[in-house]
Amino acid sequence: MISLPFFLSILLSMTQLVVVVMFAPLIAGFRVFMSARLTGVAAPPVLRRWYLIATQWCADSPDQNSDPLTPQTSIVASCATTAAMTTVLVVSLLVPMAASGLATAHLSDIFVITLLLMSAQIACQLPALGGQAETATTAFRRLISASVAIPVLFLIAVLFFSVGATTNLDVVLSGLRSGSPFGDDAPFVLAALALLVAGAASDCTVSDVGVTGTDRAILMLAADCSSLIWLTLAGDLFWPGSLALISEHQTVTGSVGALSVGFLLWIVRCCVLCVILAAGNLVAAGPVTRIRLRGAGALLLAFFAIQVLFGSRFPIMPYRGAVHEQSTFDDNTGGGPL
Amino acid sequence: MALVALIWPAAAGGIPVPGMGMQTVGTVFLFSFAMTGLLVNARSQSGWRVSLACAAACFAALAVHPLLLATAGAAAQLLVLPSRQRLSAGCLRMLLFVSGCAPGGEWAACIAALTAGCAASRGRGALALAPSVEMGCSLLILIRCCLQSQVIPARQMAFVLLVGGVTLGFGRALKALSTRYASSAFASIFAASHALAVIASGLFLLASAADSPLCGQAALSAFVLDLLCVWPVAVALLHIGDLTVAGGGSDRLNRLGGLILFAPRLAALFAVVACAYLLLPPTGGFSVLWLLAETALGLLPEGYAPALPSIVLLASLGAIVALFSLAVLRLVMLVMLGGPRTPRMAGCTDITEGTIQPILVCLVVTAVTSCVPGLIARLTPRLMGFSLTSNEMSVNVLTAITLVGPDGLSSWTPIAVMLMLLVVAVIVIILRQRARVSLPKSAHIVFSDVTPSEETLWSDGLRTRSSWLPFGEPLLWPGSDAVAAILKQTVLISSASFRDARYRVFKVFALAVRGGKVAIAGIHRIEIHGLAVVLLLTALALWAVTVRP
Repeated sequence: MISLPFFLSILLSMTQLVVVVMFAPLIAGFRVFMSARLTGVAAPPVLRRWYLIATQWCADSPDQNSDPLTPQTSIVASCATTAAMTTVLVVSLLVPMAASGLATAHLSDIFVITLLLMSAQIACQLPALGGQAETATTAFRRLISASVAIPVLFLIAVLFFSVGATTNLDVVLSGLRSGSPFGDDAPFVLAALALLVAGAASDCTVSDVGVTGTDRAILMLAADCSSLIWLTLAGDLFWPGSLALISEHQTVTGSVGALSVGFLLWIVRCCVLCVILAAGNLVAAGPVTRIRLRGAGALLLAFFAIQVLFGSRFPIMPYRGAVHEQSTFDDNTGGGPL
Repeated sequence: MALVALIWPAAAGGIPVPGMGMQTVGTVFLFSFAMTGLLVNARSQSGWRVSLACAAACFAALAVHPLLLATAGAAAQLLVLPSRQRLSAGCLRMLLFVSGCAPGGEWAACIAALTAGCAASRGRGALALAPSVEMGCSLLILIRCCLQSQVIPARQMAFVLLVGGVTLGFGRALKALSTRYASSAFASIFAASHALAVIASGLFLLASAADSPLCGQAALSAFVLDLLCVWPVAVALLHIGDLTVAGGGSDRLNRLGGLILFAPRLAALFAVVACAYLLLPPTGGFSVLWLLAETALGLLPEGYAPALPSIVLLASLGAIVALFSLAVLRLVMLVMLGGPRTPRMAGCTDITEGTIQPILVCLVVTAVTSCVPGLIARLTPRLMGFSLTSNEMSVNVLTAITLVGPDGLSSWTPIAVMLMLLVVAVIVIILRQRARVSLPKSAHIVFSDVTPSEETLWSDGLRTRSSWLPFGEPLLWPGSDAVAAILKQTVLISSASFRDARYRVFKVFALAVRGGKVAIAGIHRIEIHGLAVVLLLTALALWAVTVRP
């Protein structure tokens, strides 16, 4: 007989998959909305992103004989679309969003998750690389922008391993549930900032030229999902206490209630992070500066997080001279009253 | 034979030739050299030389006696030396190899492995595979020296290997990103597998020095996995690069392009091999990377300052992965995608069935090898010199699963991720096909000639003019310099910034001089009151001295 937590964890995984696909364009629309509002221009509606995807989904495929590059682009686009969407959906099954203790908890390694996300970002830009000069250069610039984050991911793995002796996300998050974000878990707040700067701030825009129709709709959806998962990862590290625990509740009602609260908190977390990102984008001046700032800022934050971790969590051994002086002092005093 | 020897070394039995034996290290390298030999077309120009070189390298892999090893390895390297050009560097590396084979030549082996990583492409045809022979021979003597760690200063050599491996990785990746020649780019990308193997050897030595057999086993597993799963794919990439250059008729990257239009089979093979070599999940390269990262994390010392070198090493690994991924993508962008940039490219011929078969056999054999249950888990302890009991063996077979196959890692993660990817991919493909079959027409069309998109304004685009060019948009293409310029602009400080900084320094200096002149010229204004100021200061000083007790 299947136990209740196991059944719930399977159900949760499936729900997570659906919720990511449903909410990713909304969150992306909210982010664009906030960016526009903060810069003072007319803001597009939040549902605009969903409208674009639906329009592209229903659009006809381009005429195959109109351009010599069209058949080539369509082959590359169909392969890249499948790869990107598949990768993103698999990652959405691995990342804890509303609750920890998923059926896939033992598979959620930080290396696997983040590098799979990187693969998805590369796949999203692949069709544009086959386009014309301006499109290809822009796409390659976006790829460079995404790849500057890879060293940061390795540093965050150091942080994970130093605390939990593992790089498993679920295990590390479970260990952080009781800590305070301003106390012992401060390094992880910094790491979340680094993840936010490195991953979520990257430009996932799918280029206008080249891909149309269903492939373009799926690519846009994959880019939005990828962005949402970066936000979720950062949110998990910011506030691990917001994740519900399935095994805590013995009844179905209690578990469903906890999961609902978990999903609600996940949406709130993502919206807050969107506002932070939109406000942060105002500070950066231009695209090159933004890439450089992101790379350098994320690296510094990750290094700083490790430094804070070593300073706060592990005991500092007194240097040898101090120990010698202390022992000499004890010997002299003999432990008795002066 | 190489495959049988690898999977079941006892089946091959003892070799009757004196000075040769079926050691585990030898079988691993025998497999790699055999895969290289498989791709050589013996009928082509200089193909027989490279075939003989691969045979000599196979002998070297099986050699136990140092003299036989040196002779066979040197013969292999001699056979792939070019006839006229760049002889000196090759000869120097060969001498280093021979000195590394001698007993007590551990440091020479270390230097030989690092210098072999700089080997460039030797020419067209079969000679394009020459770097794999040379790097393989140098790795063979390096790992033999590492396994005899009781006679060498392990910590110092580990430091040299790690620093050298990381530097090599950076250098070759930057070369691959900035070169204008396709053969050079392919050879530089091939060096990634060599750099990973050198780093794995360094980590193995470090684990031996730290007396940590588990980490040592992980590092050695990364080394073996690199040779069995990544190396043959890298050799196939070299071969495909040579075929591309031969088909396109030029070695210059800015004269190639649009391979997918004219040679779809070659382009498909190129895409498969490039994806397998990207060092990102779910590939064998990622498994190697994961094992290296876990080893480095396992060897992390306590305290921030002692752990800093390991942290820097991990960040460098990440940077190497990023740079090599970008290099592979750049090659894909410039060679495979886009339009032809010269008329010659339009005359590119596709490869024949006979050329495809060895590459396919190499890829399939590599995939099968990486899927043999517990192969790495059996090979690695044997490499370290101890055999497992049947209990330990069964545990290893059950728990060691990699992304590309059931080896090396300590959980079911890779195979589970692969299965999930396959299942979800099937679902996505089915959904897409169904969407294409039953497409409803869009009910709400605002402008008939404008498609709403992500980059247009939110009111469904306000494009006022469509393209007016009579023959469509020009197929302008970013050359290799554009990519290098983007990288330089992004990562390094641009020359404009240097110019601005210099201008600012000059400005401050000039302002300082001018301010000094103005100050000197303005002294006469205060000299009238100067006497009063001096008197006041003197009075204050006197007051302070006399009044204060």
